[in-house]
Amino acid sequence: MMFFNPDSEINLNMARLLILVVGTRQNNEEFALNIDRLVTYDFLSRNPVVLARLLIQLGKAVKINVKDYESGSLTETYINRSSLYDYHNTKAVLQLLHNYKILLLSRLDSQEVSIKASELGIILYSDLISEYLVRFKEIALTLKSLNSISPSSLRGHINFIING
Amino acid sequence: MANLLSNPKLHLRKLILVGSRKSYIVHFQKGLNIIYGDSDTGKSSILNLIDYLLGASQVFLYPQLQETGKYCLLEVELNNKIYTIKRDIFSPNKEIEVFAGLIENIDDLFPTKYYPSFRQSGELEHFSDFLLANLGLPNIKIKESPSKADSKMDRMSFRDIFKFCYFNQDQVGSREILNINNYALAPKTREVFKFIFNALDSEITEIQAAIAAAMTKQSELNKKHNTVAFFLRDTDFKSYESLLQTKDDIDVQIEALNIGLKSLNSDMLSNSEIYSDTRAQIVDYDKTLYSMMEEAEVANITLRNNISLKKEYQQDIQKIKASIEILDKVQIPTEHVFPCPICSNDVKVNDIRASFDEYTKADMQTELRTLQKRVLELDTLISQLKASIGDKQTTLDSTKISANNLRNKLDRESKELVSPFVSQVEQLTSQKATLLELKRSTDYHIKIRQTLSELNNQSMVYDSQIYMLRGKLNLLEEESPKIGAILNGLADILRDFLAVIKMKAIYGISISEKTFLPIVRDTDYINLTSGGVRTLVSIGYLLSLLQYSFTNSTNHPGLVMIDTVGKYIGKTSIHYTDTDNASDLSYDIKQGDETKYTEMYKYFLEMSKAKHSHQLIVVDNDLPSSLEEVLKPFIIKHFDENGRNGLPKGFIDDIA
Repeated sequence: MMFFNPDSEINLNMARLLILVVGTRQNNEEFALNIDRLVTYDFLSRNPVVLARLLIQLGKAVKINVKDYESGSLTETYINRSSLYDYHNTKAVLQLLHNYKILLLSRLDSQEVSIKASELGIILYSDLISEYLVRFKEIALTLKSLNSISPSSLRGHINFIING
Repeated sequence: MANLLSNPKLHLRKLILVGSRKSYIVHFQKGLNIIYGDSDTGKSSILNLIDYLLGASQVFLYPQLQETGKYCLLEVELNNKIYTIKRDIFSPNKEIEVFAGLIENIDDLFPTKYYPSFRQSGELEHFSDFLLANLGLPNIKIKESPSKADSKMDRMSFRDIFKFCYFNQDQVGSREILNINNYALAPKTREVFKFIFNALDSEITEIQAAIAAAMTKQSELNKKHNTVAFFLRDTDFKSYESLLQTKDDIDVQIEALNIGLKSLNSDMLSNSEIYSDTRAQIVDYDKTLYSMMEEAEVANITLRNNISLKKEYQQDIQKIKASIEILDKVQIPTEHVFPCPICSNDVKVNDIRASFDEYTKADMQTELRTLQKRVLELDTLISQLKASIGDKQTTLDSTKISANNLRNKLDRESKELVSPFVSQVEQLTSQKATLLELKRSTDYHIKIRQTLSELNNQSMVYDSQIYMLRGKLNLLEEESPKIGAILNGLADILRDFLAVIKMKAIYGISISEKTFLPIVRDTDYINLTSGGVRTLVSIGYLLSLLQYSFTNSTNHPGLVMIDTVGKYIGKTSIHYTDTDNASDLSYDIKQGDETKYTEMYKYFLEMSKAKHSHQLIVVDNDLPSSLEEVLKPFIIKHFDENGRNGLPKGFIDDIA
């Protein structure tokens, strides 16, 4: 019998990154996302209980209602801490989305890479209607309130929350 | 002419070293006392402790004793009166305590404290004075240099006399005995020798002065006694007999109370047995409750785990549905190479896809259905678990209520049963506490009365000292012993001793008029080159001083202690090197030949059989092989370093 791990399924990973790139735009303007922030946001989106506590800890007005199945699940009980630093997979998915013209990646300088959604990507984003991806869109919208905080600072807070 | 009554008598009865773990005891007997065993087992330490308890300035102890010991006690008879001497083994300058009674009774007595040394001064008297007074000996001054008319006078102490009673391991057979080579001390030692044999030139004057001093002290004591007795009478202090009666009455009352308390406890226990069934029921309930709570806890954990799993499956279902949606909406080419905008290298799509999982739509739909089925199964299981936990909780609650009801009932009834007992026990305990306090105060009053009685006893000691001194004075005034006659008498005894132990060619035996030490074959003791001969002569000399006192009036205390009588002559003679072998042979002293050694022990035995009032304590490594059985009744301690035949390994007998 095949071992099925939905979280490592390639299509799901592409959809999640597309939602994060589009969902965290400010006023439909492109937000200068980088891989560091994208990895942090991806971790928070997949761990909504941690995100809810982070928003409270940072005193943000935006709140998130944690769904019943998100709290007390095995994923929430045993958080995968290494995914907070999973640059390799995020970079690979970005390369794929760029190749399929869903995202547009361009190097700004030796350090920074600009990540934007293409027209095709924005249409695809609007087209996504399954329950999981709709919930992911809701979560991505709340992440916008964290755009002003640096990724390293966010990781500091996250580590404080998950280490207790 | 012999005047046996006037000779002092020092008799050891019991030595106790009080240690941190236990007490170590040696009992002494009249006559011969033998302590023997292997080296480093504490034999010599016993004599060292006695010496220390009789006022030596310090004590040399073997290592185990130093680690274990705290203080020591010596029960002695001084002219037939019993005293217990107590001294700290680590603080030689601390006052020596003397109790007028047996060791067993010292807790009931107040001690009299004495300074151990003449160097100390203050309100207390000196320990030497105590010993001299109780032995009926005068407290006199003697000339440090008798040949000089203006010689400095020095107090004679008990320690000066005791030098003629105790030879330690180094002194036996040594050339250095009795300060012979110490020009500062030798003259005084010789004066003490004369004193012991009543041959001191100034003895009559000194004894007269000593009688006067003793009478003054007796008068002071009587005054002190009268003052204290008057005070006690004036304050209606009960008499000694009345206090003893009170103490006996209190003991009887306490015993009656103890019986009452025991009976109450027994009644209470038998009555409380009525409730043993109820108690057993409560214990059963508690066991059931504990087991039920454990089961409920396990069920709750199982429930929580199943709920977590269900939530995980629910999320997986949503994720698979999302994957299917993307699969439907985005067509991904399977083989493609493109330049990476981030690193500018060529990237193969297949390489990226290899890092992730990929499933066909059919596979994902199959997995979806499996997960949905599992969620339904988990729903059923969770419902069942919840119902089961609810049932368990209901049973648990009702069991708790039943157990509590039973416990309350038992508490209530036990209280009704026990309360009267508790009240009676409290009453009896309170009465007992009052009586114990009264007993403590009575004991204290008895001690005070005993102290008063001891003042009287001390006065009587002076009486006896004065009586003895007057007797001696009369004797001296009638006819002072001549030193020549004394030395001849001692030489005769020494010659007899050497003959009995079969020393070869006994001639030229005398006691030197200059040194008061033996001369053998016309050779001064100090010039004897045979270690064996020196041992035999030094022992014979000590014994002659003692034996002379059996038939003459002297100031010898009747006690002799000799450490290692077999030095140079016994089985262990090989350890000692200060001897000339040729000289040894001329006296027929051969290594390993036990003849003289054996004969010497026979001599000790004969002395003991003669029932003279004396005490001879000898320490040795071995005993003569042929006399082991005969000597058994005289062995007071026998040590074996390996604990063979169940023997103690040493004076400290509880070490590994």
